[in-house]
Formats: sequence, C-alpha cells, structure tokens
Amino acid sequence: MASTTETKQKKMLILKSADNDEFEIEESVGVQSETIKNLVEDGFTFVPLPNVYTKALIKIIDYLKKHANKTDSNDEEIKTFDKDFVNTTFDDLFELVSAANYLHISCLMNMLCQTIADRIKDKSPEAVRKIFHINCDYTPEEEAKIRKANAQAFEGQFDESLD
Amino acid sequence: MDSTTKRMKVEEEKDLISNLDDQLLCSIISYLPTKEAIATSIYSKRWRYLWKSLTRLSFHRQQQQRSNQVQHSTPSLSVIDNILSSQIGNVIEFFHMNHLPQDWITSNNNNNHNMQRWIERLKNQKRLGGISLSCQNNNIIYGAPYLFEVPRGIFHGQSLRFVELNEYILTSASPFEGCVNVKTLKLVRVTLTSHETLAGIIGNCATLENLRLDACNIMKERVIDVHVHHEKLKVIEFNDIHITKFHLICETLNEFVLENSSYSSKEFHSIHSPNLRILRTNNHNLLDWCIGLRSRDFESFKYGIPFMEVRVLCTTLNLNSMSDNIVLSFIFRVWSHLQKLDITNKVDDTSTLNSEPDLLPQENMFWEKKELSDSFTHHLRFVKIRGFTGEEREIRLVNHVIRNASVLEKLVIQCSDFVSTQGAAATLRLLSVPRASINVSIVLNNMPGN
Repeated sequence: MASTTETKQKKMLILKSADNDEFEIEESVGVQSETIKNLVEDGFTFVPLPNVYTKALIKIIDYLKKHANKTDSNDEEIKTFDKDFVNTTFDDLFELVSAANYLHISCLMNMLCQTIADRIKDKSPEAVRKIFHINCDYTPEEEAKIRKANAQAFEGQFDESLD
Repeated sequence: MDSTTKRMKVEEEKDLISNLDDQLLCSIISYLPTKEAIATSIYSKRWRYLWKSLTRLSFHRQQQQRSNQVQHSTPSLSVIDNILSSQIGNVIEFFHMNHLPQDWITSNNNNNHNMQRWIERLKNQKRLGGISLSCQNNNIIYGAPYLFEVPRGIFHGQSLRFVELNEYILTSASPFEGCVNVKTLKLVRVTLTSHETLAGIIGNCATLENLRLDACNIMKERVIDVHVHHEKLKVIEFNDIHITKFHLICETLNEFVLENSSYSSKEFHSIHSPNLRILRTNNHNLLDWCIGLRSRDFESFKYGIPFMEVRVLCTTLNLNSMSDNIVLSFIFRVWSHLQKLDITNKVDDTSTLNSEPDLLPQENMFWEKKELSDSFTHHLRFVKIRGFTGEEREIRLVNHVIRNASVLEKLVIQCSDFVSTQGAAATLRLLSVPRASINVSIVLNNMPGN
C-alpha cells in the first residue's frame, strides 16, 4: 500500500482553523472526515474550519494521520495512541468532541463519547453538576417532581468524587 | 486528573458544556447505562428531555433479592416497555441488555415473549445496527441452565450488522436464519448443543466478516469441532476454545487469532486460507502443525502449507529452549513472506534450569548453518521480542537477525524485569553487531538502570 501512494503524486489539502492557522495535510488523511471529503469531492483544496480551533485541530490531524496509516502490523500501536489521545481533561475532551462532530469523523466521535460517558458513569447528579459546572435552575419542587417521574432512575448509590 | 479538577474554581469556570449542542450531549449520554442517562434529566432544565433522544439503550436487569440489598439497577419490565414503546424506540441504533433467562420465556398477555417483543420493536424501526445480549447466570458451569428457545430468525434485521451473545445456550442455528446483513458476530461463554450448530450459525450469516468465539463449548463436551467454510470472513478470533477438529476453508480470511486455547494435534485438520496475512497465537500445537513439525500427514496439507502468505506473526516462544529455536527456524523457512515478527519470550524456569542448562555441542553454529530464507533477504522488516533476558540462545538468535535480515527497519528488544547484569551487558553488545540492513533502528527498552 505504502509503495503505491509513494509513486503517485500526493494530493495536498490546506485546513484553516478558527484562529486562522493553516495546516497542510495529505488528501488521503483528510478525507477520513466526511465534512472534508464532501468539500474535496466538490473540488476544494483549501478548507476553512470556522468551528475548529488550532489546539483541537492539531490533535485531530495527529489522530487522522495515525489512523490513515493503518496497516496489518500496527494496530497495537494505534490502540496505544488512542488510549493516550483520550487521556486528557474534560475541557479538552469537549473541545475535541465538538470538533470531531463538526468534521464528521465517526470512529473518533464514538471513542470520545464513550470516554466522556465512562468518566461520569456512576456519579451523583451533584458530582456531575460540579464537574460540568452546570447551574441547576430547577426549584426544589420541580426537582422532586422529576425524581418522582422516573423514580427507578434515581435509586441506588452514587459516586460523589469529582475526577 | 485529580489535581486539575481540584484546581478548578467552580464559581469562575464557565459551563464547560454550554458550547455543545443538544444532539452532541445526547450522543454522549447514549453511552451511559440507560438508567443513568435518564437520571441526567435532574441536572438542569436544559437536560430535562435530552434522554428522550438517546440512540443507544443499555439495560441491566437483576434477579430480585430477598435481602434488603439495594436494587438500583433492576428496571422493571414496564419501564423497559414504556421506553421502547415511546418515540425513543424509533431512533435506537444499539441495544444492549443484561437480562434474565426468564425474559425469553415470560410474556405480557400477548404471544410474544418479552425479549422477542423488545427486539422486534427495535428492528421494525430499521435503525437498529447492533445488539448485545447477556443472559445472567445461564452458564452451564453454574448448575442447571435455563433452556429457552431463541426464536427463529430473530437476529435477521435490515440494518443489523453486529450481534453479540453472552452466556447463551443455543440449541440450533435457527435464530440466525436469514442473517444476511450481520458483519460481526461475537459469542462469549456460549454453549452449543452440537458441533453442527456452530457450522450452521456461520453458514447462516452469509456476509459475516468478523467472527469471535470466547470460552464457548459444546454441551457435555468441552471441545469443539470447528468447521468454517465461508466466502466473506476476514477476521476470526478464538479465545479459550478447545478445538479437536479444525476445518477452515476461507479464501478471504485476513487475520486468525487463537489464544489461550487448546488444539488437538492428533486429529485431522484442513486449512485453506491462502490470503491470511496476520496470525496471532500462543498455541504451539497449531504453530507446529502449520509449519509441518508435528504432523507429517500429507493428507492434511492437501491445500499446501497453511497460511502460506502470512505477513505478521505474533506468538509466544521460549527462546532459551533448543526446541523453540528449531520451531523458529522452521517459521522463517516455511513462511517466507513474513514481514513482522512479534515474540513474547516465555522463559520456562524448569526447562532452562533443569533440562537445557547450557548450549549443546550440536548447537554451535545453529543459525549460521541455516540457509537464509526469503523472509530474511526480502521481507522481514520488523522484529519485536518481549521479555528478553539476554541469555545465550536469545543473543545468538538476535545476532543472526541483525547480521542477516537485509531489509530490516526496526528491531525492538524489550527486556524482562528479571534480566541479569550479565544478560543486560550481552544485550547492549548487540548494538555493535554488524548490520545487514543499513536502515535498521535498534531499540532497547526496559534496560536495567534506565
């Protein structure tokens, strides 16, 4: 596979982040994103991404490069890469998940959603509110009503930790 | 993580997720157990109805217990029915359920059993892409299993691509009748009532690409005759399976994994997977058989050398034993297209200490006397050895690789935690061995003192 791509002239794309940084990548790397693929099919080689900031874009390009070079023998390497990739703060994860969503990279989306869900699993509503900085705008009466409507969902023990 | 969260000042931080749209939040909570996804409605008004657009459901039913223990994850039947019959059921793409055996037996007034009703409901919406069912306490090991009949054709669905069953007992292949869309099938601790059932299931899933069996067996037998004759399979993975007869005819197969399993060397096997590229196994019987060490039965090789085109081999060998060095020399000779070799060196204390302490006289020049195979001159690019101890036989092998593998790109040696000072010194000296390949990089990991 490697030899055929090397002999052909590589097609390049330029991605422009929301903070106006430009990145040149190979077309074959970029088209793993459905959004980019659609633009490429329409003949674009310059792709502005007004919803993706440089910090997230750098990480995502890394991800795409790694996954574009999937061969018979490097899946262990990719697994390690993925594990490190999601081992980051909630801030970064949210930034990445919205970028991945905008770019339509489904395998990355699934991985990020799964990671975030796993981190809030078993946590009490109070703990999640603190982690996400959610301001609870229910009145105590409203809250009681909601608890009553789906009583089974609120039974049991929760984890109060914030990490 | 700890430190970052502690440093957060709640009042000063913006709402981290206010930038995310509802559909995205919903994708995230879809990965929670459904019970917890519903509980997110309590966070704030914005979260009130998010769970009504879940794309994945995951229920965990538990046996009612008599004691006062908390029953926090036991959704009652009515809760599941309510959720499935609401509009939520219309958009579900993945259904996971940890259920009770009786869910396939009991019903609510009409004729369809609970599980059947739920699955049919989701399948009717034509969005359901994956299903994962786990039947609790139903393994034959735990005593008398519930024998329930899984309905004919239940896993046939227009968009159903993924099916996983845990702790099921399958009396026939009929639940998989017409499963022409399933691409991935995983059976974990599944008991089959006959050897033919497995072949039947695989046959029914005509476009299957990935097959994985973990700790499956035949009722009352423990061992399985595996008979795979398929035209689409790409990956087969068997873990903890005891194979007696193995019949594999599959030209499309790319990867075969057999780990922690037994493989009878007495029976007749036939393998025809000429396009297999990746082989992972820690099973010596399979390895010996494939390279022609164990069975000289030429009838077995009527299709030629098994896995002849293999490019990647991951295996476990004791590189300090003479016999495994012989195995390795056969591997290089027989699988001459090998590009990547990943060996976990399993030093068996008893054999190194007792039976094969020192080099035998006939081992002198063991590697040097071997004719170089094509794999060395044309293909071998990547070699990794884990658990390296720097003993004499290991050093000789690596020496041979460095001196002769002319297209080698990378050699990774990961030292064992128990490497001796002498072993470490011998390993370091490998860096100064003359290299056949100009481009090779040699990496030593986990060296003591580093």
